[in-house]
Amino acid sequence: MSPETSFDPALYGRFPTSGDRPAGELAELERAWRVPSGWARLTAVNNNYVGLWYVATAFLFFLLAGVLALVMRVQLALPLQGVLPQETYNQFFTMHGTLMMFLFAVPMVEALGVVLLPQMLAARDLPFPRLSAYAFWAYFVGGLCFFASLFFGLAPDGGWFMYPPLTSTAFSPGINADFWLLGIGFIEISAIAGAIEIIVGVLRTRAPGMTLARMPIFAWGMLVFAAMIVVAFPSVILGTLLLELERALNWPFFDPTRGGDPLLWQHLFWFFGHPEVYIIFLPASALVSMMVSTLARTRLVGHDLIVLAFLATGFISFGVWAHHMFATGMPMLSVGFFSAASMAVSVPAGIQVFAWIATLAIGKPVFNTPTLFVVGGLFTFVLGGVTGVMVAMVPFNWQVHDTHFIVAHLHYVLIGGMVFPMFATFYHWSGMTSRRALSERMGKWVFWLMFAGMQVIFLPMHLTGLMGMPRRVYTYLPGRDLEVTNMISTAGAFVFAMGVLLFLVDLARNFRFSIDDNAGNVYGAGTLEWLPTGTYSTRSIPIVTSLYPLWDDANLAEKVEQGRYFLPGAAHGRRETLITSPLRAEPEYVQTMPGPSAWPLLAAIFTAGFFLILTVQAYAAAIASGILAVIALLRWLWQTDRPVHPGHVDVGAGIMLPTYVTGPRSHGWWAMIILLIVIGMMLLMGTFSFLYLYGVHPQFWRPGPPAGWLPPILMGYLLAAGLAVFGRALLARKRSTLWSPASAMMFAGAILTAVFLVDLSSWRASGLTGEASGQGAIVHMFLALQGMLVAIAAVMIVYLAFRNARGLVTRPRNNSFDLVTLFTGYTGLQGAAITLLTRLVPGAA
Amino acid sequence: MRAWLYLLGGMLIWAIDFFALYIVASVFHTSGTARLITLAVTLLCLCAAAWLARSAWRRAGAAPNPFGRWTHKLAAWTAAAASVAIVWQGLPALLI
Repeated sequence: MSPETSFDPALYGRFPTSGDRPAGELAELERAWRVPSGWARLTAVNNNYVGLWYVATAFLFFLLAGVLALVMRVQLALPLQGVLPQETYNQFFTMHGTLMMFLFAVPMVEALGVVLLPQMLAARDLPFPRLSAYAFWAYFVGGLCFFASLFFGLAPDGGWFMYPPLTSTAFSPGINADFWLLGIGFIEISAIAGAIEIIVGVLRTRAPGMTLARMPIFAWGMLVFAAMIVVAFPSVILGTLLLELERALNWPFFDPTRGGDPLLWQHLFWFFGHPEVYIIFLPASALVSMMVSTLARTRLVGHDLIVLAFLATGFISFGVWAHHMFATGMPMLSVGFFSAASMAVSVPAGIQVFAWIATLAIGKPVFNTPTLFVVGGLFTFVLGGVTGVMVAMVPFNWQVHDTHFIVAHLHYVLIGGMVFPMFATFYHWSGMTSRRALSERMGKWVFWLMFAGMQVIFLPMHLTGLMGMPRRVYTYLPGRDLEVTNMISTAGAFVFAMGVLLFLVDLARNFRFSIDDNAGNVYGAGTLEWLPTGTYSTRSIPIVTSLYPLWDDANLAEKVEQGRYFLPGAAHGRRETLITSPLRAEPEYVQTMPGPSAWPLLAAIFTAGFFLILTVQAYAAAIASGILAVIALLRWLWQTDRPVHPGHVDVGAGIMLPTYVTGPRSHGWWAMIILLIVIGMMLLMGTFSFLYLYGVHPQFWRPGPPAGWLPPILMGYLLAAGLAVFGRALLARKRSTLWSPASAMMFAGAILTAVFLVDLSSWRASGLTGEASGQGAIVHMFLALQGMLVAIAAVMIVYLAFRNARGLVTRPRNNSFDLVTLFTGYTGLQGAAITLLTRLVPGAA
Repeated sequence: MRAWLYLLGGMLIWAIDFFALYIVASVFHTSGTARLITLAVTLLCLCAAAWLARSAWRRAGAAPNPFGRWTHKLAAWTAAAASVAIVWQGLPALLI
């Protein structure tokens, strides 16, 4: 492997430093990272605060969804019960699934990442703290408004996977489905913002020396988790966009009578939906791997094999989406491929299970509360995994499809794979953020009630399903032998709820939020999150030489606290962290980080407002909210995009690092590349949808606009992309004037806009409208996507022009310029790709 | 980027194999042509993954430092696991 950076590893030998630290260094660090008080605390962006709010909100949604489940169980306890009318029951099970999957599980693991990752990596914070705050507030405001729809009878009622044609306007004429489509689409954006933050955080803010080989297993889990979000979520965002466009504008993506196909929704949904299970499971299993070694007081067996299992799961889980569609009549060979992949994906999970068993077997585990939750989760997850392999077999799948057997299976997997590990995590890490750890005695009661309740609910539910009771029915007839198992399940639900209630009592009695006066490392773990901490994370950033630094160097915590390592203070009086290289974590530069601000909060509120107001069709108010969101975002950007004075600072032991870098080395560049991958995935899934509709209903397709339009439009898009790159090159040239680089960029924006308008009008002139057919709908979806990117590129270019006018675009390189170049260049290339696809298939006129 | 492509090479080959098989089955359904192309794609991808596993394993032995050794080993394991998965993925074409 060739060296990654010019940093000389011999410099590590200068640490730990000796001698007295300068007076006032710690006070300066504390001042830089101080959190505002009173109402201004809502503007805090420190990961300890935002992360905890995030965890609390996700847990609140877990409780709310749990209450819905309890009421549903009461309804099903006996045949022909009248607790919930049919329509309300439909809303309850839709909201239960939606809350658990979108508002609890994914945000919870993302939230745990925000809380734990910076400390575990010994970073001062994640690299984009305001983005974390924005993601949290968007989720908080959007989630609560979404839940409130239940009180007005407006909650979605088409199931958490919202299959058309049930959810089309013909069968769901109200705005209930729109709440789901716009609300969830918006919350997914929040998840993607979090994923970008986590990927860049894990790859670029690790402590020096923490190579990939020494990276904590939770960081690996979160890295794969976030990468999976980047690949999977665009698919469901596109799906929700298509369904909402069909409902709002009558574009027939899913209407087979006009060249659409309802199965397209299932493909788009499950391409996200099945990886979603692993998106939830991987971070939870990574937490288990972290805890198992601590609780067994030994090193994790098969650390590298678990990394391999994560990577394999990250890929193979994208090959199983159609196993949810075995009953739809796919070609038998396709069914066979998906069945094989569905069985294969259980192997990496098995590797993890055996690694945990081996670690517990060779260690000396103490059966405290976290251990109980870990072992109970392992047992439950394995049972869910076994039934998972059963339903991967096609004949069996056909038998139990859409029965309560599937409900039991998925709850075994999700509660064993995510909920029990989450409670173990609460007990294990509570000492990090609370003055008092949670009660061991009460925790054991919590575990046994939840564990027993879980088995009592869902074990008999397998039988209920095998006896033929379908899912999503609000009642059943007496005399079909379904009463006993249903009653047992309902009793179990209340036992489970008692466990959760007792946990709340434990929280109320013992949890007292604190950062620098916490209970500490109660279970004796060996990783860096247990270093002494403050609002600034660790006092200094240590050099990592092993997987368990605190076990291998008993004095590390003391030396870190004395400021003997990297960045012992605020090098130039602001919030800073060390950016390191992605493979070997060699120090590269010092990132200046933004402090508290109301703009992310306001941007989140107005973004949520835009989507939610759109749902109730108050278009003027929605547009006003959208404009305010854009203004808040630009204001936030303007603040963080400070005037740059490139230089070097001493990061400890006389080592000088730059304070500003550009291009592929900068963390902003990485974030933009990931964002472009997200948009590229939408393009890819759109291409799949285009070819899919053409494949199933070619009789509805006709040639596009005249062939003569193709070359100028194609050349126009490519010219715009080229001009953007040319502008960036001009910036580096000494002989260029103040305005020449920005002018090239503005020309690029003008050409993009003009070409897009020509593209759009040529399609309109061809007579193909969005309502006409599946082809018309998908072509207009592409045009809408391209139009949106062109509009964003235009806003970015205007922003850049303003900065240029103020003399804020530094030479020879500037990060803002780089990012606008990347985005504009991508928009041009995407336009060219869409032009070729839509005009060459099925052939120009 | 090159390092990541190398580390994930095996799994990327698996992904190419899987999506190629999906397209083949979608276009040619359950036919003789589909089985033949599946076999060809499977063998091609298997060779690529096996070659990557072997070459990474050899480089692991010659790596000058622990991190290099770790990287080559992980790449070798990933490619070896992918080889097994590719064979498994191709079997339905022979059995159905």
